Amino acid sequence: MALPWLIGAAVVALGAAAVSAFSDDSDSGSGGNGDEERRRRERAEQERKARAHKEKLESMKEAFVQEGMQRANDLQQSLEGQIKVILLGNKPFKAILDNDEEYHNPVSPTYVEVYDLQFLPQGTQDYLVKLESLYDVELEPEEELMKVPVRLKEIDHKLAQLKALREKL
Amino acid sequence: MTAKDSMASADLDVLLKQASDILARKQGQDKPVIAVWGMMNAGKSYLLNMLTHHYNAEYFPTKDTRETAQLKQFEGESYIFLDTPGLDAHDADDQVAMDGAAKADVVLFVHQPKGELEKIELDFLKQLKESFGVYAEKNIVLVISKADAESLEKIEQIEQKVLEQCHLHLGFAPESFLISGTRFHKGIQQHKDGLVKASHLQELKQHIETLGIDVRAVREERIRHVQNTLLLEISAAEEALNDEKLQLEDNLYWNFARFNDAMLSLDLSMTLKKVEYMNERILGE
Ligand SMILES: Nc1nc2c(ncn2[C@@H]2O[C@H](COP(=O)(O)OP(=O)(O)OP(=O)(O)O)[C@@H](O)[C@H]2O)c(=O)[nH]1
Ligand SMILES: [Mg+2]
Repeated sequence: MALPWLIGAAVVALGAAAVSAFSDDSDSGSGGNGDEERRRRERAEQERKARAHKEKLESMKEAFVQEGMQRANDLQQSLEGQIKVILLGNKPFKAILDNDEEYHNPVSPTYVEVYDLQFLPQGTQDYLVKLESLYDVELEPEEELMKVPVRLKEIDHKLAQLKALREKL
Repeated sequence: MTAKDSMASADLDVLLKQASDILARKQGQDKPVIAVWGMMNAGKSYLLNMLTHHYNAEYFPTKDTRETAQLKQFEGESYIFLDTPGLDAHDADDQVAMDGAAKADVVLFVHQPKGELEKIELDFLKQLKESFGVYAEKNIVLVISKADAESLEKIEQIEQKVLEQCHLHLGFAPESFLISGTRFHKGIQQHKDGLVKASHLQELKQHIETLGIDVRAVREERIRHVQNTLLLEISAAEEALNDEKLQLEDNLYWNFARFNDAMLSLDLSMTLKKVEYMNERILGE
């Protein structure tokens, strides 16, 4: 969790910037026409800066979405043979950069719940839920994968039988 | 289901059945069960007919081709006689024969004198010896059948050889009898004592009498053996199942490794981008 620390650092940097901006202002206190001209220029400069800043934020958001889109195929492929990933719509990446929450609330019930995928390693389950919260997707486990829990259940059943048999002896 | 696993559970079913057969007899009949056991066509059913005095009409059907397919028993005054299908190593009927042996307190192992013991006879005998534990030496009796079919010299040679094989492979040489069921039969029907005597069947009968079979002790010993075998089988089956389970879980892990990596990388990248974005936003305010 590097986030809070980095934000902390950012806030300190911001404080420093504000202080220097303030002292700049107080410095420029004398003069008539020249002053007004300068103030106008400064305002224009500030507006330009604000615009540039806004554009920068917008482009960061866009880059974020683009990356999400680019990674979609790779994610889809990484599940090949296990779970079919159907991306919905032409903008399946639905996470937003300036959303303060970690990610959207997962759809309920999740596909992990719908298909009883609790037999998967916990980390993988978590990532599947996350995938669903980041992308508009339908997940469809392959038949081969769904044989695994069936077999696992059979094995547990047999182990229980063997245990019972052992106790009878 | 893997082949290994289904085999293990099939064996378990067999053992379970044997165990319950023996356990069921623990309280039940207290007459000793004498079973004939051996390769097909060895003369088992014929011998039992003679031992149970079925001289005119067969109780245990005999034939020159494969005949007995099921266990069949006859309750005599002092013993229960049990006929079993011939062993042949290719057949599911062997299981019936095994079940029969599991029920027996004494096994008459019938071997016809065409030659020495074959490998599969030795294999079956080894199993039988295991299951009889300390009673194997006494309660497994060797019958060389159809003694009339060969010269005495040849038969004695074969007997010698067979006993050596037993000694080598089982660790003991059982009591053995050279029997001719047909001689005995003729002797009885034609009142020829010489033939009856030459059949050696009475000697076999006498030997069974002198065994003084302690049914309870024999059965307890055999139950103990079945239990031990069963416990070993259970452990082996459990191990195989646990191995399979681990393998399945391992496969799951590896099959999703690429996805997990991709998500981790996406996650990190998103976090980083969020931090950069927030820093940028704060700087602009
Ligand atoms: N010469 C001779 N033939 C015998 C003797 N005993 C049995 N036979 C013959 O051997 C053949 C097989 O005898 P069975 O008693 O049916 O043999 P089995 O061991 O019961 O055979 P399966 O039930 O098929 O395993 C029959 O044709 C019998 O007549 C014997 O002492 N001497
Ligand atoms: Mg027979």
